[in-house]
Amino acid sequence: MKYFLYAIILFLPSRLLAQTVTGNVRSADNEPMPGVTVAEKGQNNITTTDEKGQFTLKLIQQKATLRFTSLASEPLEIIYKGQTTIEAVLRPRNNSLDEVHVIAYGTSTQRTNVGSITKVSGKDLMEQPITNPLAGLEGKVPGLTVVQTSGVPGASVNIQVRGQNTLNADFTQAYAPINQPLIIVDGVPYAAQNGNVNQFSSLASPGIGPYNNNYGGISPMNGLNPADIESIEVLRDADATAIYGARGGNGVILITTKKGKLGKATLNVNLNDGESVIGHTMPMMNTQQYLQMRHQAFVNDGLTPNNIPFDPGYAPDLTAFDTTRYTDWKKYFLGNTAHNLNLNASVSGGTTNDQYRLATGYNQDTYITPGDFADNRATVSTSLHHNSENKRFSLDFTADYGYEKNNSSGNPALLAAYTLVPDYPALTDKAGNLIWNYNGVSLDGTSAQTNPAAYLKQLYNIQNISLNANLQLGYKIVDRLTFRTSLGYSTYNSKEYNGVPLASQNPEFSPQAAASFGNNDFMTWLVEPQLEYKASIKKADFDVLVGNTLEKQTNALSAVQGIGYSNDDLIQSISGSASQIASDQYSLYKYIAFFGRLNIKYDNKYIVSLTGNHDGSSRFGPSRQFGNFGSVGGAWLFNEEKLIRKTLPFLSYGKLRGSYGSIGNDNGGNYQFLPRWAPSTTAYGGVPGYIPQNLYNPDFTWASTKKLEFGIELGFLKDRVLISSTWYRSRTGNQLVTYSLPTQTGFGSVFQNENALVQNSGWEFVLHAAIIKKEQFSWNSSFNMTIPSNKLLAFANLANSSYSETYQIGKPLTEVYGFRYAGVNPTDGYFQFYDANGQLTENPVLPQGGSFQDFVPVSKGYPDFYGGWQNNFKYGQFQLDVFLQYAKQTGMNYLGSVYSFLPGLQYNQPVALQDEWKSPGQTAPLQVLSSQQGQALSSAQNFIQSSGVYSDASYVRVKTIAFSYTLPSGLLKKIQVQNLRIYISAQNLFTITRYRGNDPETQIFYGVPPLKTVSCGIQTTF
Amino acid sequence: MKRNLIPIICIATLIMVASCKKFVDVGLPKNQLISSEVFADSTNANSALAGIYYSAISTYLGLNAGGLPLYSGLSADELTPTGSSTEPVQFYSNNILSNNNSNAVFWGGAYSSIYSANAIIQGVTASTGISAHAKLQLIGEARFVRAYEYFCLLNLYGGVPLVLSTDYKTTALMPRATIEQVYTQIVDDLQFAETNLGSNTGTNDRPNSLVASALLAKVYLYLAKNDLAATEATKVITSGNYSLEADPNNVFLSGSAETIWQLDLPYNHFTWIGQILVPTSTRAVPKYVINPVLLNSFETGDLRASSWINVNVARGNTFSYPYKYKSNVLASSTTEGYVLLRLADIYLVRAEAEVALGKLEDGANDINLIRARALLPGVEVSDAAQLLMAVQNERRHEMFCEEGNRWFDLKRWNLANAALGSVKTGWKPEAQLYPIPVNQISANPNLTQNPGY
Repeated sequence: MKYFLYAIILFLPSRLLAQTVTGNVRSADNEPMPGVTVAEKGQNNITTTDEKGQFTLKLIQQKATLRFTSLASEPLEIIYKGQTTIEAVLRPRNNSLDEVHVIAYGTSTQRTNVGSITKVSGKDLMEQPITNPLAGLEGKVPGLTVVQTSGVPGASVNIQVRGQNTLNADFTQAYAPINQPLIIVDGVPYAAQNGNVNQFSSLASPGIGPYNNNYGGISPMNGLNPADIESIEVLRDADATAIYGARGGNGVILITTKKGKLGKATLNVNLNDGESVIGHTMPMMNTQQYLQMRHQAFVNDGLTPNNIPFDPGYAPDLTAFDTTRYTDWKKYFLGNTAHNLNLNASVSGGTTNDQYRLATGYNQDTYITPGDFADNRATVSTSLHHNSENKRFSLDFTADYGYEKNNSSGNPALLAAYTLVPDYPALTDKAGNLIWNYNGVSLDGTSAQTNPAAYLKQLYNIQNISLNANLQLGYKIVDRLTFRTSLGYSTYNSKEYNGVPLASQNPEFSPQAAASFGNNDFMTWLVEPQLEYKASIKKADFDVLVGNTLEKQTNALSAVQGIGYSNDDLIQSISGSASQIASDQYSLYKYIAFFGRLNIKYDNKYIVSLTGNHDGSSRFGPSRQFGNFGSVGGAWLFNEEKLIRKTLPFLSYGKLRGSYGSIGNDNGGNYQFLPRWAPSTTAYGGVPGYIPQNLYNPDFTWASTKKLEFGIELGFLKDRVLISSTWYRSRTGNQLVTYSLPTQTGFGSVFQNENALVQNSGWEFVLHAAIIKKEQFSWNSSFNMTIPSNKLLAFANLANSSYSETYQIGKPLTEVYGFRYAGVNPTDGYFQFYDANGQLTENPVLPQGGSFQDFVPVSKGYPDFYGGWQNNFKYGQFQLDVFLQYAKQTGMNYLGSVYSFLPGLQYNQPVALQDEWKSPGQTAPLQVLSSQQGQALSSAQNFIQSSGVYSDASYVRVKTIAFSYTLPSGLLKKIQVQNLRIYISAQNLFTITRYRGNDPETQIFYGVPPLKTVSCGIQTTF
Repeated sequence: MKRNLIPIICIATLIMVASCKKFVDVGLPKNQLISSEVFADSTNANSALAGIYYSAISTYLGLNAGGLPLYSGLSADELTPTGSSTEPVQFYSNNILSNNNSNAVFWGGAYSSIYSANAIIQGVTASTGISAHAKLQLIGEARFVRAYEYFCLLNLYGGVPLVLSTDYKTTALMPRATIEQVYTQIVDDLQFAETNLGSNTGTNDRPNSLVASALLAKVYLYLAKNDLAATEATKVITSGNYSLEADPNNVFLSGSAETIWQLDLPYNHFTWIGQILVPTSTRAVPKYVINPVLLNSFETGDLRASSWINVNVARGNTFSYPYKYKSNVLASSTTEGYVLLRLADIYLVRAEAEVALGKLEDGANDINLIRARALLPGVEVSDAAQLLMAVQNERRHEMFCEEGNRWFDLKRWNLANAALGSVKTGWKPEAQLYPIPVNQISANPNLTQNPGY
């Protein structure tokens, strides 16, 4: 027992000051430990060690027990027996149970937590060569899905806590906006949250169609440097999130930045440099294979390829191009090696009353495409802490500033450029000018494919500035009663440019040069006064928190398009254009809440937690603005019961917990309850025009989510093995949706409450184990798994609603519906399907008339289960981290993308695409090739909406491997360096999957799957 | 100390609760107006009307912004696509899929205009800040617009839901009205507009009483109410406000004396129809060429064949394309707008009505006015059947690629099957009606699809 915790207590000649005790706190390797909390047990009498690890505490009781706690160490208790100087040695923490977690308006530990919270430490993030902090959460948090929309630098990462809660706001849009959790950085809601900040399309935001990238965009979260993050906490259940009221209905992500640490100033420098290449992609046909496919297509159509424009047999790729030429266009357009450079430096230190941290970082990620494209980011992070000598007054200030510039192409067609036929002629001449004509064939999309080098000249850039600052003032009014207030400010300003110069267009058609200029500015301010009362009465600890939130958010968007530049050199200016079109949008959102939380801990065994909220939102009409919400939760630490201890001695920790709560939801646009008209961009006949914006409905109000959760947490072998299992269920009703209407009403939708109930439920499992724990060698392992389920439970009058062909009761909201694929018709070679009656047909019927017709459920749209497995090995000075991420799921395979460029036409196809039907009676997996846009095209369009393009997309990915070596302390002392670590890390090294396509996670064929990155670095602390 | 604190907290809380109602009131949006402001006075209400036209012209190839002449021209025997772009080919091959986006733009655009018109009618009626006289004027114009949109919808889709209110609760599940019901409403709206709109607004970019008469003349002709059609046409012709331009090249210019109603474009802009039809290079292959059937049917010497059709030679081939609208790039000033109603059309409306009424001589005179401008000899007054063929022939050559005239005419003359069956492979009689966009069928279970889709 004493192996873990021990104290060296020195008896020194006793002086008269028996009631005041001083001491030193040191680490196991004999370094002074500043910032350790020293408390007299059972009393509200606390101090912290100074920069030399020393403390002085005036004791209240004669016989006192001192408790030493710090973030990174095992707690230690020492009984005061009259000694004047106490020497305490703290051992590093060996399990996560008592690690400090950030919770709503406070901190807690896993041991005493009622709610469902997972912490990902900054260290975990830093092991991965990532730029976006959210990408580092992938696979680490049960109940959290993280999907990188693309491997393009700066692309967004979508996150969702425990499934989709709300209906598709606009059913005419095939894809529902994802319910993303509230993101709070150091107590302030991040101004841009996790929405896409771009207005224009680019490689990161190609959109739907063949790119199949429905949620892609530029991520605002790139404004935060992972190196400045201390921890990210993911709050999931009612107990953890209810206090955030309406804002927390979809879960909460708390990001806490690094703070100054007590002690002498240390300088930390971290430099790493890496390279990335495209992840797994399918090989494309070479010229020989391509020509064979094309000729077969013409043979099938009974045509001979010729060079006669507008003739059905016109095939310049077979008759006018040099068919001996071969270029691997995929290699040409997506085959470059990207370079990643990352440099971070920070200074931190402080005295007992003042601590500071200043940090700066620079990051550059280049593209794998040709062109001078890169994402550059510079960040500055500051944090200051001050408390008065008597510790009554405290001040905490944090500010994080980020500047990011991302250059790329504004034409997403670049992503599909490798459909270019492999015998396509050279793209540019020696001077770098585009070639628009080859051997009498226009290379502009009219008779052959457009010269894709044009897209490289259509430049795009976005510059983002983010600032997130919070000033928190605290004053201890009396013992036990503290007043605090947060004054937060967060802003995100994005400036965008997209140019289509004359040089990128075929001069034969007197083209117009055009450019777009956009601004997208977000701002949030927040005032949050709180009062906290903490007391202990006998065995009960009370913690009462009341507070008030005043929050204001604005978003101003504007875009100007300049058309008709006479000279490409002016294309970056608005005024150089012949005419301009401007538009702007503005929205204001205000939120007010009164909240309270009561937490009672009795005998360290029983915990009860209650929260209540009175929320007001500006998104609702008069008299509908306020709602009351709340939660109740409890936990029982049953291993503390004597009976359990006796009967189950191997159990070192056991907790049962549960929570239930109702949380409001005001998701949706602002001003929706007003009948609005917007001015036209230009006047009509000298009269400014007003255009109606919405159907008038002032009657909608709060949607509400009811969350229920039970969990059991167990620890064995002195907490070397920790297991937790959680069951959750959330039901969102009275849904706020843009209820779709036929356009005969004048609009496609109206904003209203819908009597529909959506349920998300599931199981979450986490297993931590210290498998090997030796002085020289250790192996820690952590495994998590989530089994989610999503269901539409009820929808009043669904059959007669505009969602009658979108949702089915009992099915997930994310369910993909399509035709039931029945293979290729051996008689004529076209795809065939089963109709609603189970009969074979080549012409299945799309949903219409309030019925799904021949559509059936094809894929549920979320994994059966998913999770991650983290392993950490330490041998002496070496450390190896291996992180695996996995998901069991079905998804759209490559056929769903490639059949949108009909095989047989002038597009290159993957080599895998063969075994097409050739003659009657043949059983073939793919339909007959055709050189014409006839039946083969409509058949292909049915095919890509069928079960034929969905297949297994399960995978196990070696997400991160990080290997590092820390110089031994002896050597460090010689070179006068506190710490020096050399490391190499790899991201997305390989993936085990049976998926047919490029990447099972993104499931995008014409796009950039997550990159494979290897980077080396050195981290030094002076 | 604790005792002092409690009242302070209570008071502070009370102040906050009192002010919180106010805190969450965000007022009106900065860059938008609400209905009560729009209908506060006639100036603002007039802007709501201008908004309808603005929306119409800013929709790329929307119903009233070049889309109707282009796509109906492809459906009829007027235009042939040179490219293989899927959506236009669907119109050309008379096989429009119900998810065709251009078709959805027609439907949505028309109902969007109708919503605005209905909102204006409701808002102006309820307004207390607009004079009774101004109300009639504003409502008259809104009702005219509504009638024009229904006229287009009816001729493209058959009977459509007759939406006359902005209340989505009553309009969302509305089924189709019959063709007769829609026409009755159109006539009613146009009669109201004719009575209440001023006779001359000085410009031709906003409807006046005579614009209403012109459309009413066409509507009566479509309804085979030939005497009423002739009467309405005569009102327009004898008003003295309009005259035929001598040079066909001037007909579609902004200042044309022949224009009865046009949609104006913003400063230095071009029409979408000009942009899509007129190639930007003389060596380029136009996206659409005149269907050979139409090209070969022009009489020798027809000035319209040389003024309104232009030729590009590319790769050794000759491509003829419509050249009524000539502007296709941004210019220093606006030269053209979308001409929706013009005098030549109304002359031919009257001619057709007169022939049907047996007034052959009057009919021939009207036809010959149009032929004379094209430098063609006059037609002889022969029997009614021949003269009817003459007027049909004249409409075909005068009104080609203009606001759906050919497509609508072929259908109302019951000639679509005869004229198109021979030139369009795969023609089927059901193709006379476009499909209701599939997402509308989904959104409104009471909406039935047209046969054949």
